[in-house]
Amino acid sequence: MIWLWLMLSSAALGQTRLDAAIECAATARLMVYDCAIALADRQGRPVDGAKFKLGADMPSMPMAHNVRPVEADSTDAPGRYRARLELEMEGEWALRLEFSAPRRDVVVKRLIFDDKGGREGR
Amino acid sequence: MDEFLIGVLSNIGLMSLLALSAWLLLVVGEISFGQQAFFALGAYAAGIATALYGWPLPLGLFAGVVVGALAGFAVAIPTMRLTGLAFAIATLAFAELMRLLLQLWVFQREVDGERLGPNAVEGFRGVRWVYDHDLSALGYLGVIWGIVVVVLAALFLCERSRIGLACRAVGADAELAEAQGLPAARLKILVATVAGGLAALGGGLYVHLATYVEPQHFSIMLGVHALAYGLIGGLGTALGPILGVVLDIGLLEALQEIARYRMIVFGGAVAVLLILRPRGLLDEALVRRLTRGKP
Amino acid sequence: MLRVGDVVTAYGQLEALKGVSVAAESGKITCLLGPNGAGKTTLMMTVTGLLKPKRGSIAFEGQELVGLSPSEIVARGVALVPENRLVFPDMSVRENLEAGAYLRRKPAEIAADLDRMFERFPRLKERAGQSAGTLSGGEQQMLAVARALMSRPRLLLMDEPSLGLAPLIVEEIFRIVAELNRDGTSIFLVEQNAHMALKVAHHFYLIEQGRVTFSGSPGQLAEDEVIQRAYLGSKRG
Repeated sequence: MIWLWLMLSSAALGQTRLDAAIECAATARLMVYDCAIALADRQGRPVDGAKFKLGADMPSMPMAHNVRPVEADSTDAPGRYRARLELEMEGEWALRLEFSAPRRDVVVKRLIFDDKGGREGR
Repeated sequence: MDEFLIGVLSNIGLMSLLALSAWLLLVVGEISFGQQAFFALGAYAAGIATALYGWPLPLGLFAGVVVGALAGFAVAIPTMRLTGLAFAIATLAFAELMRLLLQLWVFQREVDGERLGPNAVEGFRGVRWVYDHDLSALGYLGVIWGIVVVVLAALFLCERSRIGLACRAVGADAELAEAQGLPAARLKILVATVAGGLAALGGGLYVHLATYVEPQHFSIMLGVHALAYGLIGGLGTALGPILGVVLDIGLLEALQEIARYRMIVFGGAVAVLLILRPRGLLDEALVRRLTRGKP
Repeated sequence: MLRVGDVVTAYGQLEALKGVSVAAESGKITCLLGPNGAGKTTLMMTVTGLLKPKRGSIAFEGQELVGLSPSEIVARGVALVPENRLVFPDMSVRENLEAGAYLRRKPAEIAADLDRMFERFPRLKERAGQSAGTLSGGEQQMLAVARALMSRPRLLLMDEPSLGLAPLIVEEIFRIVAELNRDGTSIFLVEQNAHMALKVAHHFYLIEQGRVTFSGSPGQLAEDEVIQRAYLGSKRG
């Protein structure tokens, strides 16, 4: 039954995807980072009013590291958001932006974290 | 339900499928360090089917299972005569070869103005079927565990069948089993094929949850964990590997204070267990005691 | 019933059997004596298809066995009680017995045979639910015999059933061997120690360094000075 429903439910929504740029700075607390997120649409226009949570997964060991997702807050700057993230260890993480507005979507970004902060790698 | 909990439970379900795959081979007496390769094949195949060709998720998963099972069969033919360390190394070599090939493989198509598909080390992004069809995280958790329960039920039935008994005999002593008339090689190939399909099913489900995969995901770390879950949880029942996953991801991860020391705790636990209970927590003798009296 | 003709089996360059010809008659107990390393186990493994001979023929009831898989050979009615590795240790006694009946398809008949085994080996019934690995050496040997019988063989091959067992247990095993034979199972026995075998076997062979060096009745065996070597445990081989 559930399969049938899955197959018949709405087809691809086809809206423009979101794009994100993330940079994180280390804080006084170990493994806690302040992350600044810039959201834009595919044309590069800042996107305001988005609601999303920031989570993280370790590509070197998928499924095994579960980081509690944190709600991102909007800031005064257009298309800019921030979130405070606590990780388990330094290294490469795949940050996951899980949107509930403007629509349900997900954006994944890879960052490398060290004692100074996290920057997008590769 | 809390998002974090949904995430953890989803991961436990997905990892369980991979752990069951490694456990199946343990039952027939083979140690595989390479089940992550079939997980990867399932993820790429199912992802390509849904994201690049617009197949519905069930068909995409099925395609992944077929690819994984065929690969499992193909790998089993030359390796089934190997035992012990030689088999373990052969499976690891296969998995690493697969990972290196995925690091080179580019196969992209334009879908809705976006280039999608496996892109070498950059990985395979945009497997959004679950999001495009507005399936909630809780709904997808239901899909994952629905499948895990069906798989477990099938394995329980097999365990009680004559094939299950024969597999255990082959696992205990392949040469003795063969001398008793059990077709050891054929049973091993059968199990390796099923194990390949099962790992691929997990991979197909995983890519649709994560929406992206990259070759790095499928390193030996993943395979070793999958194997360790069966060894910790026990070889006596299909619930063994699930117990192993729950103990590691569930318990250690939920207790965030010790999560940082997890690798030490995990490694230590494996070492101690292998000495005290070489066939895991739920080993054959315990399972027999627990189910005594029931047919 | 079983005719082994000029069989050569080699491990790489090393020939363990250098042209062995033996026969087992229907309804009889045949015993192959020989010291360690003479090729006794190699012969058992060749007959059961676990090893492929380089040349020679093995006929069972007129049908060639060479080239068949071990499970096809069991299906034709030849079962082996192997040496040393007797049981599946982590499986229960009952499961061990059921594994012996793998090639049979009728559950009712298997259940009846299971009851018969428990009748013949009451110790196994007491321990039916126990891990086979926890049994004593003698009980494991009984279990191995019972498991082989679960395939309903017409010819039972036994590889050194007395190995490492106390004299009293050895006596019990040979009593069972004689019983099985009376009930109609032909037996081909391999032994290092002629003492017990002399009481039950109808025909003897002596194998040394991969060659059959004696063939005769128990009486001839007892007279032959050759047997003194095997009986006492040869320094050769």
